Amino acid sequence: MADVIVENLTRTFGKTMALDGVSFHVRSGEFLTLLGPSGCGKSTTLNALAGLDRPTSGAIRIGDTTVYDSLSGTFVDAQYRRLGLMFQSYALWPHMSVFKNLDFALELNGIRGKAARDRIRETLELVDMAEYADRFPGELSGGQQQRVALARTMVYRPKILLLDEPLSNLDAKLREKARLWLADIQRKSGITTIFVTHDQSEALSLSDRVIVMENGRISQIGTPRDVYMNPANPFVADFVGASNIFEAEFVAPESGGGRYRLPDGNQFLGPLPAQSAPGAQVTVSIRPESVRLTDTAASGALPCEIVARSYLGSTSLLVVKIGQLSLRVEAPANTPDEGRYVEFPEDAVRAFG
Amino acid sequence: MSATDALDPSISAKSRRRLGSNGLTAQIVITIIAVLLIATALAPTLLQVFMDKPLYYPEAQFTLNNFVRIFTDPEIRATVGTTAVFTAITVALSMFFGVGAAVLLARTDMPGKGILGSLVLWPLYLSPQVIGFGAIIAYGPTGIVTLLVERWTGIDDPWNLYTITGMAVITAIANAPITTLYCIVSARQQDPNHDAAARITGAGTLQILKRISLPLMRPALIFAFIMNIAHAVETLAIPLIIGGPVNIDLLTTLIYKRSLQAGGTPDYGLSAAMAVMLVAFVGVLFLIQRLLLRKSFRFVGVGPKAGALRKLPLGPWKWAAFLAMTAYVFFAIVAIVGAVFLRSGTFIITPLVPIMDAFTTQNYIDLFVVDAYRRAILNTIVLAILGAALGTILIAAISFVAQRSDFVLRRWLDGLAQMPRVIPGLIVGLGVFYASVFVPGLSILRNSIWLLLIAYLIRFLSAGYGIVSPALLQVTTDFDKAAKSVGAGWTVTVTRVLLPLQKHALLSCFVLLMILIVKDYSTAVFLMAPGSEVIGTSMLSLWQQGFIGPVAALAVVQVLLTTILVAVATRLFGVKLYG
Repeated sequence: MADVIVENLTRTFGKTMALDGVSFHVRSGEFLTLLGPSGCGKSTTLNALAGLDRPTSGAIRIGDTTVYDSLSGTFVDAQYRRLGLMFQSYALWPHMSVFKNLDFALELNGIRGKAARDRIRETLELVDMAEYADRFPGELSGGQQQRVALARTMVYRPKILLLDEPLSNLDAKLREKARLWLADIQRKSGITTIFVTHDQSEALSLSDRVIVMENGRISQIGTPRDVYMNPANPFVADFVGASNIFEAEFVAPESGGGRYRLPDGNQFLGPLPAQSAPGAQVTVSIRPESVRLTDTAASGALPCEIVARSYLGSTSLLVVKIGQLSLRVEAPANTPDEGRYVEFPEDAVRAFG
Repeated sequence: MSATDALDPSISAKSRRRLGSNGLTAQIVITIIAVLLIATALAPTLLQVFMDKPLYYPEAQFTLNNFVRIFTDPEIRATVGTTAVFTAITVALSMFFGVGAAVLLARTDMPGKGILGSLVLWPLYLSPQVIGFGAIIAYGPTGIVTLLVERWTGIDDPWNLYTITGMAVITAIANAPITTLYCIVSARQQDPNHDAAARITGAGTLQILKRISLPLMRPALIFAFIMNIAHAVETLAIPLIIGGPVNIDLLTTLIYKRSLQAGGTPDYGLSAAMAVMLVAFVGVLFLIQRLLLRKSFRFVGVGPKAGALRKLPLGPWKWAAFLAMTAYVFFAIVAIVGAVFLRSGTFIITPLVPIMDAFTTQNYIDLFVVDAYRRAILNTIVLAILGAALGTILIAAISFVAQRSDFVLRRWLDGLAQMPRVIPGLIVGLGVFYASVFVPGLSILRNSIWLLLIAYLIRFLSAGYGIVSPALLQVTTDFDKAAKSVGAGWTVTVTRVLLPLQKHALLSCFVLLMILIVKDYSTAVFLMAPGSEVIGTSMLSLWQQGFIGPVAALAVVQVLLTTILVAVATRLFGVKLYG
């Protein structure tokens, strides 16, 4: 087991800055996820960790070895890093059987003979694929290929495991199963794991900690709960959990929190913004499932009108209009259309100055 | 499972180094070999251009005079004109034959497409030399078809093959199939929805062909058009066989004659200058081709392809198309190849003597009895096998370095591998010949088939690379990365992962190289000597001496060799040689 330290990592491609001063620390045995939209720099970070791409500057330490340091000019190539890398495409070598795929990895690490056979059997059993050892990749289903790909990356017991969107090629149902299974394997093996995904539910359900990235920078590092409940900025709020994001004016502090005014004059309460003086424009976020729909005009409730709805089975996603503002609201499926008010629970509102 | 025992102490440092080697040495060696090969073909010619005497003369001086002479020599000026006329007729005809056949075969409901299709593409595997010989045996002044037509119509000399037009028609027949092939592939890749959309809007067969299918084939047409110009300008055999006796010279035949000046001193300086001019011209052509095809994605169908391409109904015209196509196949291919086959089993073919009376096996017996003939066949087979094997290994190695390594010169190597495409075989042969005279160690290879082997490796490098390189592009680099991440170095990744995945493409490359070597003649003309004859060169010299029978028999052997190779490769191994 090993920890990973990334310091001030930068990568430029021509004029574009793919990574801009990224730093983080992965603790030994931790499951860490790099989350973000495509082009945010998560895959560039993973390639730098794997040694497949040489960054422009910064440093990477894995365990007690420096694998990259721009100051000393150190760069250890992928083939010497002894990391496990699992690909989105699985990249199982199609001309080798399942057994040979694992055996080749062991051969390169100098493990032969009975030791190799035992290791292969043991690893294939771990992923429930022992009876498929003689099959070729083309004869396996997507889910089975995914298991073999994981087995191949784990069979030589790498120091850390790098997973590049390993679940994205599976259909929705299988993906959920694979997610539980992957978490289970990671816990059993205790291997330090860095996982790259653009799927927030994968990130939240699997990780010990999540790093949300945008435009080559880290937006937030935290536990899944942290990232979801206390997004550091509007981007995180929007990307993780698809919040409603809108502009409002911070009016004044009030009873430990703050009062806000929408452009059309409606007002609501929320927590104090981090660093804004009264009168400042702030960006406000609230999650669709946090907005409360009521029938009564209690204090702080704003009148609204339901303008669209899509039925999702257990719930409905409504679009409501409060004056000029459109909001998405998750509500019970049978919510009627007329006579509605919305309430913003104070602790569900986030204001970014 | 824990990861604490990551570094197994039992692994020897040595085995790790071996498996983990990053292959830099191998990459350097491969690049050097490629550079040396291309330099062998070009450098002596480029040097010779600026010398007033043959390269190997110690007193040779720098001069620009050779270039001046290109523009002042009246014979060259006349030849450039002849070459232009010849090229224009050849390209027009081969485009017409080639595109016409492609449209009929790929898009219409013309009957008999299976058999007509294979016959139309047959010349791909035939040497233009054989087509030239066949043309003379069938359509020459005393050719069998000519005499039959004279007899039936009563017209004397219905045509004259020994003219620029005659040469051009026969060259067009040899060049048309490659056009057909490219256009068929392009036509088949069209999205059926384009057709369907036009049909629903009310377009008929002709309108669809004219307004949708042909315009969509534009990249293939441009590609074929420019390739046809290059082929016409480069061609040697047919102009030599047909134009030679009546002194019609093209640039290629002039280079050939001036280099082998019978009775006088060869004019190496002028030959080299013409060679450089030819290479530059073909190079510019391919540059234009690249520039024109940069935007060809506009012609690629987008979106999902629904269903199969519908055949456009020709109505009653399909029988007219069938007749026209059958006539073309019969007169342009079957009659020509058939004449060669007939002649190989007779001592003469003429309507005046019943074929059974002229029957003889002597031509074939000669192939086994006469040393020079037997050697030509054996040399060809040895060169084909060795050349194809070495060529495939070299091409595979170059493609791995060019596409799958971090080697600094990889892009450059990729360009280098495509360079022989612009060097006509005649000039590769000339370069290797100069090198053998000029480079100290190489002279021991002179008059041996090893010099030919080197020439073939250079000459067909691009052809093989053209098969292997696109196939390698189809293999995802994730396979390499996965190998790297489990600890494989470049050499191991290439030999254990990429090489097995490339098996099919390499087999195709091997077979294509064999076919190209078996049917080659132009690369070998400057390199043949007693002992190092190949089928192509032997046919040429025998023909010039008037031994038509043995030439026909050798031609049949060549056709059989290539046909068997193609059949075995495509039927047994499912190899795709073109496209």
